[in-house]
Amino acid sequence: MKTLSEDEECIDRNARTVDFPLLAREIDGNRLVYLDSAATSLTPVQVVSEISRYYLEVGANIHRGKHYLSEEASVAYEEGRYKVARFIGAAGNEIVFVRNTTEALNLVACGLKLRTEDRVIAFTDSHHSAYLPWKRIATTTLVRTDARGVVDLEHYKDLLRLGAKVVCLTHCSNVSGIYVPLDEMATMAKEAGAIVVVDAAQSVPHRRLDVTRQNIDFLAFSGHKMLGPTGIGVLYGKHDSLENLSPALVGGGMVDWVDAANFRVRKIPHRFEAGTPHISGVYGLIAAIKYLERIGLNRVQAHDQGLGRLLLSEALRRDYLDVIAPGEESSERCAMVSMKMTRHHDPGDIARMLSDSYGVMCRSGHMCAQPFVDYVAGGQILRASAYVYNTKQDVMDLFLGLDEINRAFGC
Amino acid sequence: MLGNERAFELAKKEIEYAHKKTKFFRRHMEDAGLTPTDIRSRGDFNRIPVSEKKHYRKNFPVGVLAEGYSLGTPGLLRAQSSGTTGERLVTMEVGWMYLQRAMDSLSVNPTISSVLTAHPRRHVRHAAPNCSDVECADPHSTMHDRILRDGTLVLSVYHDLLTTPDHVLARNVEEIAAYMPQMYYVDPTHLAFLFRYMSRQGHRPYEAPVLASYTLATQTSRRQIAEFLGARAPIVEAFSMSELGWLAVECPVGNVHLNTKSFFMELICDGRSAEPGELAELCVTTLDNGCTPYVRYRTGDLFRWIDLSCACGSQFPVVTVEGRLGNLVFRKNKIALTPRGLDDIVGAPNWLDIYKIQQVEPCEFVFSYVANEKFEDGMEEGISQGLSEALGNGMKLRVEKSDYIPAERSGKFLSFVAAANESQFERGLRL
Repeated sequence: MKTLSEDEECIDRNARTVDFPLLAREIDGNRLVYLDSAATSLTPVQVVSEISRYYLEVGANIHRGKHYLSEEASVAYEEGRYKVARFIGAAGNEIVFVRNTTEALNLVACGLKLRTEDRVIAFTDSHHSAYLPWKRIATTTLVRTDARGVVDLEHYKDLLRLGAKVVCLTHCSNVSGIYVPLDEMATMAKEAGAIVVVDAAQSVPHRRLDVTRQNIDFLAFSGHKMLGPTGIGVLYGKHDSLENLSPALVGGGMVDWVDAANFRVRKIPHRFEAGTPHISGVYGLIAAIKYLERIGLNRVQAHDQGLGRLLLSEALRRDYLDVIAPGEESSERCAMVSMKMTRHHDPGDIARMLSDSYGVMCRSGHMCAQPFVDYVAGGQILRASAYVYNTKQDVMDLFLGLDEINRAFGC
Repeated sequence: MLGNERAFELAKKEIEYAHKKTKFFRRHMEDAGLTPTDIRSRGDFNRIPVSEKKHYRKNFPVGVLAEGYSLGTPGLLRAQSSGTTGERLVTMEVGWMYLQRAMDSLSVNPTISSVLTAHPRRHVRHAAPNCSDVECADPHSTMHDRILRDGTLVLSVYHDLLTTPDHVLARNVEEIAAYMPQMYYVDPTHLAFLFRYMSRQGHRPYEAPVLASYTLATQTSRRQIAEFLGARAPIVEAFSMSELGWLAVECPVGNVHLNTKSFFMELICDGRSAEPGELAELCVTTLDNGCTPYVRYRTGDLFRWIDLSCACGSQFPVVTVEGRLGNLVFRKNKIALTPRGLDDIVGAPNWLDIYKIQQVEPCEFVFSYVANEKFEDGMEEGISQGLSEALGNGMKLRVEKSDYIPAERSGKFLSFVAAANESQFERGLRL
């Protein structure tokens, strides 16, 4: 894959503020720099237009009537399912629309009908959403992730040897930005007879994933981290895996037949989508995928890697910063860095200053991965994460701001 | 205009009938400042504005059912079309008129004609389900549930063809063996898919003639059907529309003949009658003074009239089938390729199972294909090179090998999907 230089941009400079008007906004005279895309990405006008188009021009519910608008909405919604399927190499009926990654992972955890004694393997750096759904219902063990953010594969093997019903992999950590070797780890899990579930919330937005080439049973991601709207997410399930999953919700839209004695659920994936779904969200998600495809996923990935290297190297060369889980030389990473100021212990304070005085939006807190963040950082951290609309200048503005804040502490 | 004098005289009577009996056509003529008496010559015929699906959708039932007919009239058949282009339509016609049109069309192919008139009739249909995928595609139905009153067994299939699970295909195989059909009435893409499964599983074919309809038969599908069934089972392509019935059928010689007995047919190019060899859209006028008369009705199907006398002996005009108007490839506002032209480039290599050429942007195409075990790296290069050359400079072609290609939401699997050519489509006849 071609590597973009740090100066190259993913989106043409002129198009950036046209597509993302929010980037033209100023915070008290400062140019807005958005570096919190790992939490939620910005939404281009193309996506907003599609959402508006649904409400202003279509409006109707799906699969619930024979009128013209209902059919138009139903067709667009189901074509959206095909579009998502093609985006990750799946078949159309292997895509379930949900609210977000969290709901997708909960749907799997509940639908597998696990018992308390069933063993589930998760990871120390798992997001709460990839940990708690299992912890609540089964015996969940965490694979060690060291202070560098590197998964201990030997520990993983040891746990697999003990047997596991489910392995829930986090493809890319939302704390370190480091990718795990998904192929290798999924294959190991399958060889151990486990159901493989992947939290891909931080990876699908940044690189092409082909689920047909992976030993994966389920994979989850969210629209709002890939230029799409909030409230729409995706659960991919291999055909046979979805067939073996029980729906979490029952009600309208998920049954073929109901009588006083019984009911018969619809075929996959419709049996998992009870009630009126987030129709406009699907319209928006498809527009987001089209936007990414127009850029080209290879280019998105190359840009992501370029900014990831820049974020890491700039953070590492500042001795007033502790980089959290910096990985190894060989670690694959996305455009994200987590850090702390060595002599100032309130990342929330830093995030506020960066925002209000420099226009730079970063995330502070435990990143919904408190066990890991407490382990590697001893408390809250500051995270900068970039996406397709960010530039080298955005990254440099972040560090210039941090440099000034550091000086303000008298260091 | 392809009809003879008899057909033209009947067409004039149909115009009088439609004008007298239907509100829509009366208004349609009035808007053009015409009355039936204005239509005396073939030249006058061109003055009548063409009619389209949207007219019949908008005016159903009150404006298009002829006086004397109602929704409850016995003997009427109701046809519901999702529309190949996604445009839906409900239409009604006298049942025996549909049958007569079919028989007239089939007069060019005695084998299929004799099968159609056999009694009792045992056909199997394998095509896109005539319902929403979500609402009524009940995988729990029995074979008995799916045998229609006319003796047609409808095989189960998922809307998104390639996601049809093996257990459904296995049941189809059992049902074919049990029903012993006299004919397969199929979408060729669907039948090729089923036959691929049967071949993989080591099933023997049940020999019967194949009537291929619903979508343009690609050479790839025809090859697979022919290879599996063997030479003794003929494959016959037929063209029909839910609202009109059968329009054209392939004869034993392999030529497609338009049914100019049941319909007055026009091939129109640039607003005039097409010359032999010209790409043209078929417009149809019914002739039987039925429940729903159609006058100069745009079919959206493209043909080229071949001015030859066919060795089969039929006097019906011979055409080549070029595909749907909405799937033409335009370059600089000119037609660059028809679906048939694209299929000729792809051909029927033995490593190819199914494919789709999709125009995803005005200047960008994707050729997706599913290959079988005979495929080796590089085999697709000839096709991609041929497509690139045919599409011309400035057109980007992406080639994707895949295990899955989604069908259309209509349930049909179209091998050619153009980007919205709405401006060109609106121009319609100005090809």
